[in-house]
Amino acid sequence: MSPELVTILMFVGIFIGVATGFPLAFVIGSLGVIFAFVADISLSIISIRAFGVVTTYIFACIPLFVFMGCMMERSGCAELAYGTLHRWMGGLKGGLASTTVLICTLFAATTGIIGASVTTMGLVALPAMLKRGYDKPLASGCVCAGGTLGILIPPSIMLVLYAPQAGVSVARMFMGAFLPGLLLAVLFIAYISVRCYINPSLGPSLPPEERPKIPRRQNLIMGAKSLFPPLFLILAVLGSIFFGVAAPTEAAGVGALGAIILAAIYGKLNLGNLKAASYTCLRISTMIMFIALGANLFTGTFLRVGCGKVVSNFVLGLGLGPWGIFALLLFFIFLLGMFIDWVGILLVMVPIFCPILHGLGFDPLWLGLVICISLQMSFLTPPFAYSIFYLKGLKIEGLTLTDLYKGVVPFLGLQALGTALCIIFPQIVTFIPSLMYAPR
Amino acid sequence: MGEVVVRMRHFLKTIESTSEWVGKSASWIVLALMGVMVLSTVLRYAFNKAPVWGYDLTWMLYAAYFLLGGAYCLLHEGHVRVDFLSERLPPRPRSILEVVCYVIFFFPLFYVLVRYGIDYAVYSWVTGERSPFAHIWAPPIGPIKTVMVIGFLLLALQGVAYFIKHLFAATRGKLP
Repeated sequence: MSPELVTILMFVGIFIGVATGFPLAFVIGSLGVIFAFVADISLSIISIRAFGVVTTYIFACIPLFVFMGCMMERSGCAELAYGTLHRWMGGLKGGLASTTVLICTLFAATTGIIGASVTTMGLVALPAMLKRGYDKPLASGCVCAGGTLGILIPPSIMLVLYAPQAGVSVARMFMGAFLPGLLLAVLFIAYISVRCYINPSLGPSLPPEERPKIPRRQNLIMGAKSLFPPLFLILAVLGSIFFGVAAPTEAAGVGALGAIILAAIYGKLNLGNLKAASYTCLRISTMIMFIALGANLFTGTFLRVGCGKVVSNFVLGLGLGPWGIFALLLFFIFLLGMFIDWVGILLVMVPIFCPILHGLGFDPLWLGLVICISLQMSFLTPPFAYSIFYLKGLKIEGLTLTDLYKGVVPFLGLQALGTALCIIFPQIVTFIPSLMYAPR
Repeated sequence: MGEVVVRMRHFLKTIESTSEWVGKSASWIVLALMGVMVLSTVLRYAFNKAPVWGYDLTWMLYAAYFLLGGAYCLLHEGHVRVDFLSERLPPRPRSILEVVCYVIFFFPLFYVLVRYGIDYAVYSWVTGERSPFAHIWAPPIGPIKTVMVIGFLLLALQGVAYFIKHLFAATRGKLP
């Protein structure tokens, strides 16, 4: 069978397999095995590849960061912090929506877990906003969009998965993601504020009589108690990576312990919560690692048969020039994002397409982050939009599916704008990594 | 006929409780992993040198963790599906589709992973192969390769359980 034919069949296989709704990990893994068999590649190589995923040291970060997130979620610190910012910012127009985005940004550590922040904010912030008469699409949109921030802002599972594929250090990717993540948060908040100032009925400020009457001093102390511990934990984890004090795996381990301590501080450390965090963590980490395994088998066979060369010849033969190819890749990722979730896109696309772009002289670190930033859109693009699914799953009264879809549209635009800014001004991505303690 | 169904239920129940129990037990490995990471960080600062066991122990724990969790994840339908199309199907065609998918997208993969995984593990035991990563400690690598085979085998069994369930549903129109 010619490499060209295998290329086409393997891609068609993915689309058919995904459309059946069978678990993605098994679909791509099986395609890797079946086509290895068809192309007469020794099947014992499959075990060697599987073992390669098993022995990827940096992936040990993943369960630890997920556990840190699960434990932080259980500690209830996001709800407490929301209460504080709700008091502090409720008086602003659109203040509750901005608060939602802020909390999602601060607690991005807990939201490296897919959907955790959408669920938390959907249960805490959304009812509060709807009760105050916020515009439904705006309220649900900011929860969906805010929730996706967690997947980018470090510590981020996405970046841990991306880095070894492209030969970039995880620590540098974490630092590179920092400003783009903040940029998106700022764009979201600016958008919410501007719209609510133009039309206050979209997000009315809390009437003075509804604002809690707490003495200023007490208000500050209570706020500090709810904000300081989780902030300290997150900054300690990121700071130790930035200053080269700890490797990402070490920081993840210490962060997990920190999250347990955090839960203890808030009186939420008990066997029930520990069990729940532990089981959730297993399910999420395993799901991700099996996609990594399946994707590795798929791309291994794909590249071995020579399909990588077929794709690269095809893409280079289009005569688009480096930026044209880059744009094509982003468009392709956007398109795939409508149907497949980001783990699959990342792990299948990166090993196949990124070598082409690296060969054209694109900086791997910057390219990786632009891809990861644009992948956030996959959470909001229907028909397969994670954020919307999670929010829909909460079955909040008075919120229709149309509200949800209408709500994400402006935020999708803002994400596209954010991606564009990072392309036009690459310094947004490269500035912090360039300040970093050089990796040993 | 009835007896067959009873036996089948018993068989399915056994597989499911195995997946559940192995997964729940394995889920605590994350705490061990955390302990190793914290301890080796502390020791690194105390003695200005990372402990020799840090590297291998870390990846081995992480590996055992997700390999043994695979069956649990499948049992709880944790493996992500893109199911916005298939969820519109009525239950019976959906079960038929699931049966077909198991045949095409599940069994070939796990047959190869288990079958060749055994050879791969046996080779390591026989030759006494040691971890190629660290230079001083270098633990034997046979055990973790065995865990890999066991993990895939348990996941395959859980797959068989779901396959039988859907096959039953596809032919009789209801779950066993």
